[in-house]
Amino acid sequence: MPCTSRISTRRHLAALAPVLAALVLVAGACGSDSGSGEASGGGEGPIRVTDVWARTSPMEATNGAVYARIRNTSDRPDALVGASVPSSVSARVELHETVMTDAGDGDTTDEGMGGDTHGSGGTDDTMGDGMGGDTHGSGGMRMRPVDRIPVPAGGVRLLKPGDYHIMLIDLAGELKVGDTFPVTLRFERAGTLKVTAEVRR
Amino acid sequence: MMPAFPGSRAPLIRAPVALVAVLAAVLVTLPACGSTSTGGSRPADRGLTGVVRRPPLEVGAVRLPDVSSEGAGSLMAMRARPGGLLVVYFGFTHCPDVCPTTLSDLGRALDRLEPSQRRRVRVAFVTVDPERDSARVMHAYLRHFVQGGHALRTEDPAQLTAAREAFRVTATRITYPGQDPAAYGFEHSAATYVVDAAGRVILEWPFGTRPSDMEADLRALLQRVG
Repeated sequence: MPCTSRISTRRHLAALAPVLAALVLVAGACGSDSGSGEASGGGEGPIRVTDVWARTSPMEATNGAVYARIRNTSDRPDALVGASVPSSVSARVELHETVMTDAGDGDTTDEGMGGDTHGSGGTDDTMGDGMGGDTHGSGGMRMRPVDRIPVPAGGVRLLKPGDYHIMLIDLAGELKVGDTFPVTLRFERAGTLKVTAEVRR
Repeated sequence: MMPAFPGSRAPLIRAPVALVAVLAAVLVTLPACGSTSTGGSRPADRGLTGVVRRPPLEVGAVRLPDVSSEGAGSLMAMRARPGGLLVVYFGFTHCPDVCPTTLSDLGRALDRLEPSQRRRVRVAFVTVDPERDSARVMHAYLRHFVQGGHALRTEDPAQLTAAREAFRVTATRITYPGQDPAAYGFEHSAATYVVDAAGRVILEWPFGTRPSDMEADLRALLQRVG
């Protein structure tokens, strides 16, 4: 793979700047490693991001989500810690996780939700009281913001419906099937990666 | 009670040998279904992916205003037309992940049906968030995913609660610390319900049911009710 480089060498940035510039040029020529022309990006570093897509939504929708397949080819764990899209797509972006609570739970606490984020819960105003224990196999789905989405060493993290996703907040307009837009992903170790999301049904 | 469901695909099978093979496969498959859920329900009948609750929920008495152009505000009862099915989903349009995924998957499943079958399936999308989901937004949102669906919206909390309770749907409002209180969300049950003409929920699809499985279930159920 002539296009392999580690973004983590950035600490020697000053000395390596010309080299990096050359590498970036070379990497650009490598193009997508998916070979299918689908939305993808980041073929040159330890983090490979493919299958980047957003769910189509109508003009009237407020929020949306971006999904992707993130592969970490290095032997060190990494994490997605931020993302951004042009304001022509949405006003804001947050990393989110949809989690399933106990079936029919309907309570308003954050028990069992894990503790690695600041985000869930708050002032809950229950509408689901007295409904406990009767939704078999389709328990409550709850979304919560997360600070980081871990990408295991040598492993894959899928951002997918009902799981981790990048939430688009205050969409600027319709997301039409087939449209594409840029997404900038920020990783704890690997740095910044620009990818292209495709709008799908 | 749900009738047994034998031979639904028999017309496709001509040779007795093939029939025996299919029956054998079914017998082998059945024990593998296991039980994946809590009391009051059991795995679906053979061939169905969704979950069958026994006894079935009775939702036919529930009526909600249909704010889509199909309904023009009239009350829609939670029952299918004779020989048809009604698919009901509770959600809200600010939901970025779970609701659009389910509606999109449902729309894809419906698109795979032949027009004669598709016409027998009505779809109702009930908002648990009438505060933000205006009739206009509801209608446009649903139409984006499902053609000809019914957008159901009531501003009467008691009416919405009664509807939710009939389906055992939970929806708990959540606000996020440090954020605009208007940017609230819901913790919500995310199943999709298939209702017959008697107003009984005959099948429930948990979140994540694939469009191909929804399609197969709809075909099987249409054959049963037709």
